[in-house]
Amino acid sequence: MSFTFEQARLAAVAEQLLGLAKKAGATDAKVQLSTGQGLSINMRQGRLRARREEAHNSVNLTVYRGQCQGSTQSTDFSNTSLAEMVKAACAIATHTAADPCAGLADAELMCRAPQNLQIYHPWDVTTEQAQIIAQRIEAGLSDLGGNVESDSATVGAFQMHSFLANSHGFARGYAQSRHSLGATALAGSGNSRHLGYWSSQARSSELLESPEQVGTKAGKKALGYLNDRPLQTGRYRVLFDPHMAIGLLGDIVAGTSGRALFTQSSYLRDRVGTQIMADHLSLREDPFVLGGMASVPFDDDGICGQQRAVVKNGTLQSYFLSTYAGRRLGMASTGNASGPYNLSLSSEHTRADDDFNAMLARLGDGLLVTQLNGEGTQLLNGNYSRTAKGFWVENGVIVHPVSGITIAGNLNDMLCDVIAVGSDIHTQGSFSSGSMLISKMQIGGR
Amino acid sequence: MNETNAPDNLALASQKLLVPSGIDVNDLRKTLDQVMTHQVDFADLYLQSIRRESWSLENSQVKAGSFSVDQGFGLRASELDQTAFAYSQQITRKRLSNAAASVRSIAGKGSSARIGMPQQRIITCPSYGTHDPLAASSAAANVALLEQVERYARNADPRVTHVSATLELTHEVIMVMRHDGRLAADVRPLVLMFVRVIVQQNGKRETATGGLGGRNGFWHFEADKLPNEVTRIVNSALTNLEAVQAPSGELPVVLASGWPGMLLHEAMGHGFEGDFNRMGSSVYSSKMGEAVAASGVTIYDDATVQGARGSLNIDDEGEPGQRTALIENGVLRNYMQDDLNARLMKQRPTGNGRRQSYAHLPMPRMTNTFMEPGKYAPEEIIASVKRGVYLEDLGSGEVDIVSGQFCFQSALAWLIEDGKLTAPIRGATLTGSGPETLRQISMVGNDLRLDRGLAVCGKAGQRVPVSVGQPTLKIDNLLVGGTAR
Repeated sequence: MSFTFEQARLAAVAEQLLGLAKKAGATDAKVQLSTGQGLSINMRQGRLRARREEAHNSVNLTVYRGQCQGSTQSTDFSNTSLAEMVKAACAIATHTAADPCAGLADAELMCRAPQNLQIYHPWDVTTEQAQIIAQRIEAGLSDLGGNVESDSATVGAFQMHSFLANSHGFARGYAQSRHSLGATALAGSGNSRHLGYWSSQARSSELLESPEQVGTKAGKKALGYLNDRPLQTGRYRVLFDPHMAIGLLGDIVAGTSGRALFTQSSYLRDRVGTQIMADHLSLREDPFVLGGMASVPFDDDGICGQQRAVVKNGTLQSYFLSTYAGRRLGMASTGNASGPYNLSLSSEHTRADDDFNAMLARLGDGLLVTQLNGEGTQLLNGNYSRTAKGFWVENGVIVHPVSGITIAGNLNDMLCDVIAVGSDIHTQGSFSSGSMLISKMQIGGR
Repeated sequence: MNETNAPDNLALASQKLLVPSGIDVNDLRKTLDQVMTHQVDFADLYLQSIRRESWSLENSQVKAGSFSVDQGFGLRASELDQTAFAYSQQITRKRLSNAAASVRSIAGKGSSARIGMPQQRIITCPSYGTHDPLAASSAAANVALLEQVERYARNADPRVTHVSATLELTHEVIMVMRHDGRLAADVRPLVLMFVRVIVQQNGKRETATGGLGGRNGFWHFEADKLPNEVTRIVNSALTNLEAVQAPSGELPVVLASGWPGMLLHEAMGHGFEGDFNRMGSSVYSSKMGEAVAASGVTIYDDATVQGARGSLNIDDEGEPGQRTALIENGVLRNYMQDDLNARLMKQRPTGNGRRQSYAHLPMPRMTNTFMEPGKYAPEEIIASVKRGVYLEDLGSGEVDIVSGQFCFQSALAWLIEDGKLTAPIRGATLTGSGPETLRQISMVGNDLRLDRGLAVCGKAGQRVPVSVGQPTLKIDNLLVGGTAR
């Protein structure tokens, strides 16, 4: 395993670009570089559908002429290309309007002592080894009988170096890795067929779920949807499983992120200090979870994230802001120029024994939602309307699967109507949550 | 524009992709030769350069502009249904040779089929010119155009509180050589203006989006198309200020012409892609020659529409762009194929082999997909509905291939009561089963239109520009996911 460019080369390219930019008349400049390397395979029923070798480089330059900015991206690190990048970025900066919020983050905010977050565990997996793992994923699925088959088993290993430098003299890099196993299972036949998905992601290959388990979970998901029955249009209590609860957290992050706020396109604008969720809920952010999928030492502006409560007892404490977004809103950066860090939702009512079955019992009669489709969240006003799949539950017991239904409400009402969060916590990417019980929502069906 | 005098794309592509690296067509052939020393059925080498300029206006000023260059090659080798793929952003002899050594291991050593002199594939009837929209415009003109958009929106109504707009100019050059020596190249312009407005009245805010785009030069934005489009967007947002709760449950739905053709793209288009049908995972697998839609329904995938966003002179495997009948008078006639799936299914390629970039593998993908017009006037179709929904504009959509269940979001919709549009309704998801919905098309309008040229289709993580279209359509029964009890 080797990178196209080593960390030292990235640092040298960054220095060269900053020098060229200065010479070309830029008052300030910022360079972001990355070089990545990986292998992914996609197997279907023992056949290697695709083996793909990754080798990706990118260089991104932003120049400031006073308050005017221009940027260029390239994949070519050659001297000619770097000179062209500087020329193009400076040319753009002569045509953009002066923006009082543009510019580097203040020098004193730069991350001084980046932590080692243990996010780099390169996995030098060979094609042959990856194929064996994919076969094990499919084996986990084939143990479930003849009514379900593998639609795809994937194995991915990816590692990258990033480097950030700016004309404040900040110049730091770090390495990270992301590995994954995934399975898609196809159950049923004829006109009643369903897909089931499962995936596991980790910074270290040793922390991935066992391949057989990934296959089995996907297979069970697909099988669970067979013999689905329609549901009558009406208002029902709803339990979002942890995956779907995580989807709601994604909507909250989108609605409290800089761009949505300063373009006035989020219903959560101007809501700091007000209640945005039920008062037993809190949402905590932690950039420093060792080995966390969303742990990184600093953001694209060179600023560290913070361990903080974004929502405390239902009240919004702060947003997800880059330096630029912060200036637009008259606030400080929260170190989120590269997005959210590890986030977890919790309820002060959750007890250790509030596992999934306990949550089903609390649902009583209603709908368990296990899949949502469509981009049906309108951040501007919180309107929520999506296609759903799941299970009809009576007296806390799953009665039958349901598909082809719609679920609708308003994000603000839904979050304020959360009755309970389970202890069945699942972590996916940046987010962790247990299942989420919501009072009634409108379900469209037959 | 004189389209008949298209310059030689191969010469242009060599100049862009090979000359700067000091390599020539012989080096490409040698790379493929090296791959073919193993028992490989198929190999191809794809080179691409994409230059893109993007400018955006927000809060009344053009504050950000960016320019990007992305180039590289992707080399693939296949043995039956198994494929190995490697790519690099350095188009050099060394990287080509490394990639060849890597991908050929998909098959054992053995055959050493040498390839002949490349036969060139000349584009005789191009669907777009070779113009470079970046060269044809200037920074000042780009900024001025965006500022113009802001003025159109502000002048349209005082309730407009926010305008954002992005102008994107792209120039793509590709070259592809296959193991048997076939060589082809294409030069593809693509322009796009995306506009979003927010309006406010009595503390209530609504938004609408739209824009224009296509495989054209910068002149695509000239004349009054742009002011008309911006006015339409502002009116949509204002209409949504009055929106009432959407109904919940199954109802007759009338879809307007143009962008609502996304219904076809989702409800059937993906289901007709060769890969899903070869593997038997599409709900339309083994339905060839059967009636899958109401009679009178004819649907094409047509890469040859002049200047349309999904048009292709050649696909990313060098097959000429084509017009393929998917459904003729209700009967399933063709799947959309790339080389691999056509070969394995023993069908002919249909010029639908597309990839997001050199770093991605080709797959069967749609180009411009639309339904042929029927006989009804749009007003007649609306008038035929007692209680239902009229969808004037949509957001995004998606489909589950194996069940055919699709969904999309309404962006501008109305209640139909006694044949009349009575009240705008809030955004809602609409869902149905593709095969059932195709059979429930009961009226087809006479007003076929393509969308405005903004569509992006995502499949297996790869995004490509496409276009959709349809005349006004009536579907007897679709599930509307509103909040009204």
